[in-house]
Amino acid sequence: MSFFAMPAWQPPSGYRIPSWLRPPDGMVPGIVPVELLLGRTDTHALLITDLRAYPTGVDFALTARRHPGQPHQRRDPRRPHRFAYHDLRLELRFADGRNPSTDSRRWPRTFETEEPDPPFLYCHGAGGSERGWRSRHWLWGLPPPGPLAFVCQWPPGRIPRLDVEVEIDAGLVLEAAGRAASVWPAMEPDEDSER
Amino acid sequence: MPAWSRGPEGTVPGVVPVELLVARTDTYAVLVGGLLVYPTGFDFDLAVRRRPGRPREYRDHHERSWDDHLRLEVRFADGRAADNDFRRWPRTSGDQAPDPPLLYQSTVGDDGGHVWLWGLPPPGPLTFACQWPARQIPPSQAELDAGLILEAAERARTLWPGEAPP
Repeated sequence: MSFFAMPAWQPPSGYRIPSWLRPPDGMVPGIVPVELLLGRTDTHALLITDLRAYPTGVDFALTARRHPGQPHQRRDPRRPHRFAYHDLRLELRFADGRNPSTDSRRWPRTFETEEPDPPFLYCHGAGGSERGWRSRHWLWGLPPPGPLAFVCQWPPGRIPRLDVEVEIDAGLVLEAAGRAASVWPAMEPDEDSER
Repeated sequence: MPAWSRGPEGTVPGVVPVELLVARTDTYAVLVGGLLVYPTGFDFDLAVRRRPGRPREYRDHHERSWDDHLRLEVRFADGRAADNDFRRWPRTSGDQAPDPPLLYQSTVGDDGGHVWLWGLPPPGPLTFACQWPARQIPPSQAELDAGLILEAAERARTLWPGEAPP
């Protein structure tokens, strides 16, 4: 085959995103009725929004907003090839002491192929512009009753310096998970383990 | 970008704690959720779910016409309506705000998209209607009490108080 010839079309491989890396497709989530301002400086603000609870976990968005009056500075001046928001680190703290984090160095090496012990916090999409940054996260495993803390920080040396924490009552998440419903009620429970 | 084209970035939106199932067939479901409300309008996610186990339909996007896409219309209780057919958008200059409601779907795909609706609804039922003939999704709709939107707009707050909203 010529180097320039297009390869023949192949059917999809059938790869299925595992259930611990994404919300279930066959469920209508329960919405957690909170809007969280995690922290704010003169130049930036961090929000947690879109908290959607399922029986298997919680999906939510972390948003970084830039003050409208700030000059556009979307990249880290010391490393101009990277978005300044890229290094935002998020950790959840459960009432029982467990603390899943977006720090991939703490993830098990086999998280893509083997189901990790919950809780497991996975980023399943992110993007942004000069106006800010938004990333979506999937928490595999529900928190226990009690306080649930969202902790976010930029590593020291980043501009701006942010190290913020906000708590909500995990009962709100558990109640919302209880309101989640199946889109197709007749669906077999294991049907949703594929995609 | 003009103020009518997106939510104000200096505002924490109010959340509407509702996820609406707008349409469901044996293969697909259409959901409206993630409703984030600002004093000038609201954002939401339009999600198309395929029933697990059902095969994907692969089509060349370049061969698709607008009629092959999911059509969405939002109807206010006073009869005004807006839809995601960009061919019907008003032609305005950047500084001239169109009459609300205006619906802008910023991302369009087989899995749905993200929608901004410029303008808040009056009290009464707020209807989300959709259809997608190419996927055999018939005209379907679901209603929400617009009061939930208006209450969420009241909860929206300025990120940097003391400054004029952008």
